[in-house]
Amino acid sequence: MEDIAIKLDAVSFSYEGIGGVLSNISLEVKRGEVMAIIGANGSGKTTLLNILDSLIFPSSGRYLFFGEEMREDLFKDAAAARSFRRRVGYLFQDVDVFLFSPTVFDELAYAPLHLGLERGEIEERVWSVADLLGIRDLMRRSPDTLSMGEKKKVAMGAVLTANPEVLLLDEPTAGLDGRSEAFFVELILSLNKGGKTLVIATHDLSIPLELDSKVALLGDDHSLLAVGPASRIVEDRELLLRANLIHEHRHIHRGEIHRHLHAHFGMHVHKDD
Amino acid sequence: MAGLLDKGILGFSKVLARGLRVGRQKEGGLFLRIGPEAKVFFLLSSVVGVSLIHDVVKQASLLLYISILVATSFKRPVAFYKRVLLPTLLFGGAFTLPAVLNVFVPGSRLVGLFQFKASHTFLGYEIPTDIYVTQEGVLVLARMLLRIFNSLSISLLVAETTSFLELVKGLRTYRLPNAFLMVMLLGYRYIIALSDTVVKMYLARKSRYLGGSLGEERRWVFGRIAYLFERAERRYEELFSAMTARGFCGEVVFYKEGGGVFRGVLVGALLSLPVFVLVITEAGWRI
Repeated sequence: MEDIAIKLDAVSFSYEGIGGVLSNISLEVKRGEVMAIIGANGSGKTTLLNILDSLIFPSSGRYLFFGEEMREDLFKDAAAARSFRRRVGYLFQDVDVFLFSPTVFDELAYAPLHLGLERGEIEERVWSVADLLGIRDLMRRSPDTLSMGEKKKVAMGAVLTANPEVLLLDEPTAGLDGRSEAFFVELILSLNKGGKTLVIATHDLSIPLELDSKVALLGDDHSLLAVGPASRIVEDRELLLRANLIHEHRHIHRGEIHRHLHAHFGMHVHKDD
Repeated sequence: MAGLLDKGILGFSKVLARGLRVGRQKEGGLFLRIGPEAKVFFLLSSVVGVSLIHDVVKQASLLLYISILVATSFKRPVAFYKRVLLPTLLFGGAFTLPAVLNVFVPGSRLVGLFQFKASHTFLGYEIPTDIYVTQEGVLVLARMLLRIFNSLSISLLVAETTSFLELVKGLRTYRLPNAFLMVMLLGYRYIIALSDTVVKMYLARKSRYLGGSLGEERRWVFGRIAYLFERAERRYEELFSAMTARGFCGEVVFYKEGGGVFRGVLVGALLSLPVFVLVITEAGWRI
């Protein structure tokens, strides 16, 4: 059985009229691994996830999913497309775009329904995912009426009901309060424990550390700056500075106003701490 | 005056949200309990029936029947009829009103209006010296108003008690081509994306702009139309990607399919029975 779930081989991507948004990315994600893609805004994280979900295709280079090259012509065949979608789930950053059904129940049923599952199995999956996420009470409500935390849970549920092997999560904790963020981190850990492969795009440096994941760092020039364990990459200030993930600014610490290099998400360390 | 535009834009989005996403039904009301496939049958057969009935008394009987359906399905039937009355008067009354005059529909005199010294010819019409309202003209007006009123009531009755997706589901039961349903479904998603973009852009602009005349507001709105469509299209493409990412491969499927063609036709035919009876008696057949 193929051990490499995702392999990118010198992948570049450019949008017409905008130019390159990914430059020569080579990356491997093993089956059952958690990989965090970190980078500043506009570094190409979402584009990379779009390629991994075969919503768009590389301008050059190759993307292999469990050893099979993903090309646009493969997706012209509905059966092949369905087989890929059954194995990969993608949570969009913008949940307002991601949630489009009239009720939460319909949202959760959408993916298994379109993947051709039987009604009984769909219902079973929908309710078990609703229980897992604690959203049973929301099932008859319209997604428009939910809070951001609830929307994120519903969106996650909409992905999980397809029971994919690989999960692509774009900023899953963005815009959430501390408690909801902790819930998502725990959920991601338990999914990984259950054997799922996860690729998470984030600019929150604390997330890869909490997940103890591997990290792929994208630079401002849309190239891959480094790949390695979170503990090594996130502690490398030179690297983070190059990736524009930390910067010097003025702030208060222990009653004293001073300036020094600072990352915004929990990675703020002083020499004397 | 700027408030008018404000109300217009927000109202437009509200109407879309109400009309396309959810109905405003009476809890447990008649039309809430009927499946979409039956409602689609009722809608099509009744609208065709209304156009076939010429007799004013029969149209009035139909109005009575529709009123019963409305009363059993809506919390506030008066509010429902207010929404039907305005377009009826606007599209029916305004265009058909001249038909009451003997200039357009000659007939027996009901009320005299005025007299000219001599007859004239205007745009091919012979204008007589004596202008009056004819009985036949009033009947033409009444028939037209009742037809429009009944057709709109039936359409609104179904539209207000059925979400757009339910309607598509109902049409699917009658084996409508998948391509046609997909166009309807994606059109629906586009309209939602468009309305959402309109409101967000307008509110964002409003938060950064103090005052301004209606003319300025209007210039701003029209100046942004191209940009608005561009943004809505982008949002729609993202939405389509979200559908694709979750397994949409071009086929329209629903979690709960309707009750089938037979049940739909049966329930729909029962609902349309009074319409059928009126059409048959109009044609002169004996039951």
